[in-house]
Amino acid sequence: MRLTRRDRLFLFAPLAFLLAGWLVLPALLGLLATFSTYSPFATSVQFSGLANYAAVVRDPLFVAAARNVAVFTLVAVPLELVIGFSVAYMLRRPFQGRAALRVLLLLPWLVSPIASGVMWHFLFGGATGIVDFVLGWLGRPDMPSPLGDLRLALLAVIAVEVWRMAPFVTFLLLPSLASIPTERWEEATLSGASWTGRVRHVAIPAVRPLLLTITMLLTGLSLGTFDAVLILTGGGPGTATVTPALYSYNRAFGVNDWPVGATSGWLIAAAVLGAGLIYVRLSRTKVAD
Amino acid sequence: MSRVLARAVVLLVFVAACSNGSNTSSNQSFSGTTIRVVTFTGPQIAEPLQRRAPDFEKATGAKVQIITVPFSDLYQKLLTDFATKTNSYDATVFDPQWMGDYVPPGYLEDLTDRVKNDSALQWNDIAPFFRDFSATFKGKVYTIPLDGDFQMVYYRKDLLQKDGLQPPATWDDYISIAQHFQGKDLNGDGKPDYGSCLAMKRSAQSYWAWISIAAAYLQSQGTKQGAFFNTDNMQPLTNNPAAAAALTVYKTLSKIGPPEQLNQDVGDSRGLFVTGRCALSLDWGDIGPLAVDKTQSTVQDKVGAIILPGSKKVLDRSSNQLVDCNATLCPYATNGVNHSPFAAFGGWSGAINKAASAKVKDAAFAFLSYMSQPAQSSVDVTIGKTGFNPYRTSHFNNMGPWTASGMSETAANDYLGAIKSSLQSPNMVLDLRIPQTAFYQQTALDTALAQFLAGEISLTQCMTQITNQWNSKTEEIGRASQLDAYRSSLSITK
Amino acid sequence: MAVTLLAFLLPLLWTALASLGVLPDNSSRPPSWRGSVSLDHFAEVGIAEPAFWQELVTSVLTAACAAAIAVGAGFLAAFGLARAPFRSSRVVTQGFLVLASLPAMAYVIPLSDLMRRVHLLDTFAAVVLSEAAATAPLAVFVLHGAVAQLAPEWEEAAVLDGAGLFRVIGRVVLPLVAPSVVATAVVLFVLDWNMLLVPLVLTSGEIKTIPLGLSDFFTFERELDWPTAAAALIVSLAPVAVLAGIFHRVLNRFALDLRTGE
Repeated sequence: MRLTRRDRLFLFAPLAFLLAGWLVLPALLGLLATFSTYSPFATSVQFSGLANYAAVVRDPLFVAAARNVAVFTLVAVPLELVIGFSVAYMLRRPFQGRAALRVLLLLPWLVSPIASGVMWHFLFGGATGIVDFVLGWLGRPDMPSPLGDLRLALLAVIAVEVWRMAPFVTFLLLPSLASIPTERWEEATLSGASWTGRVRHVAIPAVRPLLLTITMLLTGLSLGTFDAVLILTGGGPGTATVTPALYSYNRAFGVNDWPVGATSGWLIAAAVLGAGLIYVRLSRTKVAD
Repeated sequence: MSRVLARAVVLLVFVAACSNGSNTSSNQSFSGTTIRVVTFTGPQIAEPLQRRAPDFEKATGAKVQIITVPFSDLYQKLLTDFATKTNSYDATVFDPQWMGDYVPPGYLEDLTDRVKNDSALQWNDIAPFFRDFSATFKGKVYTIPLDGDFQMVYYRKDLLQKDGLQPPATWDDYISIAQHFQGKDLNGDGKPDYGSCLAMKRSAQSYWAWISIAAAYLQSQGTKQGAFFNTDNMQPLTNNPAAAAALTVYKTLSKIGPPEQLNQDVGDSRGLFVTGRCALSLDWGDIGPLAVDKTQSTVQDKVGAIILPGSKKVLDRSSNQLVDCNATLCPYATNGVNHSPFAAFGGWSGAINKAASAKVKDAAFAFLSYMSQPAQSSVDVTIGKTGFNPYRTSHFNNMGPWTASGMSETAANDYLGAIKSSLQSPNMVLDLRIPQTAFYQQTALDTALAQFLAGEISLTQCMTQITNQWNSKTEEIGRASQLDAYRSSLSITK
Repeated sequence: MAVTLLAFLLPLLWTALASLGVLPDNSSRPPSWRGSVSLDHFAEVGIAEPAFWQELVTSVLTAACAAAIAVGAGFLAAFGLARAPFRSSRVVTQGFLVLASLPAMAYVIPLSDLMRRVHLLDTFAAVVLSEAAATAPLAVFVLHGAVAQLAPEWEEAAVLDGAGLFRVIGRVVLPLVAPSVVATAVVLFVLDWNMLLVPLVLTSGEIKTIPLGLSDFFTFERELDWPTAAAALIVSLAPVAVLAGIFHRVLNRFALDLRTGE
């Protein structure tokens, strides 16, 4: 239908108002502030060019945070995709109780990151945790909580996030996988394809553009990891699990160093926007279903 | 015994009657006034405030609104509120360390005259350290102490006695006792337990434990000497043989405890100690009441408390060397050991917003005074979940509330004895309270300690890192003004 | 299959058992269970965090309002994008997905300052609008896909009948995409329910949501035992779990496919 100018105004104005005031404006103001010495109760504000950025990038703690979050993203996102896809693949055909299973499998994602952090602090721990219970049954000695181990802490945090997010990936992929007509599956089996063949030639093509979109979402989420590390490790042991978001928060609100906090926040934004550019470029070459 | 008790009871009743009397139950002089008090989300600290607010309202007519925010936000919320003159809070129960950021810009009300004129408050009953150092800045009173925070060592009396060991007098003693018990089964469940349980988690205020250790080596000549900076030139005291010794002790202790100690905060260490899995621990006063809590503790009547272990060697600031104690260097040493009880955090205290109206300020002062007065505080400090620990002489002269709370007389004597000797020490360490203390402690110190414990940096790197970061922050704010603030906090008058 | 199920659900089962007071005893060989079922720990939650039940109500209200606003504004904009395409509308739609992936930390710091200056700090409105703004881009992306795949004949028929924009949207489009709209609203409710950072920096104690309450459990001076924490977790999970259960069929319609505008 043809939309008049008034129509368009009516349609776009609410969203424009909402986003302008509570997302775009703060983001832009924040960006401007990073080039100055602004802080909420600074008595005078001066332009300072890239000084804040230089200070942040030169801070070994930020460097450690950036390195940690890069590792985090590069490990967590593929794992979430693979595990999420595998579970969705297993559920692709209807069976008795599948609906109930789908809801149950959604539960980890329904747990907030902070709740999951609280939960896993205890579950990894000794006296009442899952890990030592299982080890005890297997007759093996107790393992101390990986959250206290310099080499294992980041992996433990990654594992917790993968636990939480892989079901969400399943949730997103399952409708598409489940709607592949049965003939396609039968064709593939008849033509002698193994399960890898079926995955590659039947399942993946049905969800390829979706996978790209999901990857973008997961990447943005991983780059902004905050809630989980806040509770699970506080960024430790040492600097093993600091993330840029945690760094920003501690600087801006913990020790009142607003310019540094705001600047590192914008660096996170820049990374996500960069990933977004790649996403847009890549999805241009794909054809939407 | 019973005569003493009787006299104590009479005294208490007399005191209570007096305080009630002058706290003016007769006049509803504050009716119509609302006081907004902000503190961190409890239950500690907030609970006693919330519990007693209705009584105060009944007595004076003033409505008390207790607002709570997460601890990690309290400092910022207060600073923002004061600096932007939003004034949503009339009073606060906060960390007195923050006075360094709130007093110089003039946000807090000077209470010197009020405390002088308030007889019900019984200002002189408050232990000298809290009265003269913790509550003051540049010689003026800005807070009413509600809690006496300092760290002590707790030990399993039964275990040490069985193996013929004395409670630790020095940190070397602490280490050898911990090593003796590490790996043994201490609670009969067949699993190895731990010699010492400390909180060492990053971003969880674990750094105070290190200061408790370091203070023994760094401060020996009384509170005014300070334990963080040189009082003449503001040079950090973190890069010398004394600091190195303290760091070595700290690192050793990180290995004589639970393997995941680097991820444990006070919640975990306390839990482990009261369920019988540790021979030693270092903590504020909370373990005392927690140990007698039947719902959680399996070590009732097995816990002893002692003043912070000290050191036989201290820092000689003129030579910057670690030397043996002698009469000049360690005038307050006992048996050749210098003890420096550390008033970590300082103890939650009440302060008043200078910008509030006169009537509200009066009402707020009356409320804070009410909370501090012996009639109320002597009960509150015996209840673990209030978070209030003893800080008045009257708090440990009367055993009644303590034994009523479940402590045996021996346990109470022990616990209170340790507190008493700490409070009476002229060498108590005042926590840092200069502008941007949060950066010095939470950002620079906490991070460096976490990295050192995890093995990411070496001992020398750790000391250099802390010193450099402290110095650059001092330069950034201004060395002269930071020095002035530091000296003011210690009430050093030129 | 069973292993996967176990891996994902066991931690939650563990937590649920702990909240009822049933705890594993890892010190016995082999590990066993102890404790009897009781609801005491749920009551403990109210003692450890007195405002917990009020936070529950606050969370329900803020999440519901934020989701409603985001879905409302997002739906209208999505319709506009789908029905009035322009040269770069595909990129714009993808841009919304990128916005949806943007972590809040990127802009919450200046947001809290801005809210303070307009005297909206620690208000219901600020929290709701901020949560709505954070989640609206996702709503736009999803609902755009839903609208774009509708056959245009329905709307054309309505227009021929003389219907204006309101009627087309209200009588024709909305009923057809209702499942997607509901699904999106549910997902956004969950996202708002679980948000920590936005309420954390925008409030000073007046408005408190459940995640804030939970983060309190783990700050300075708090010792919380596992059963009580578990009870708190179960309570914070229950509302969204029930919601997902009720709407599980409709939730299938939450699709992230990018459709080119027809």
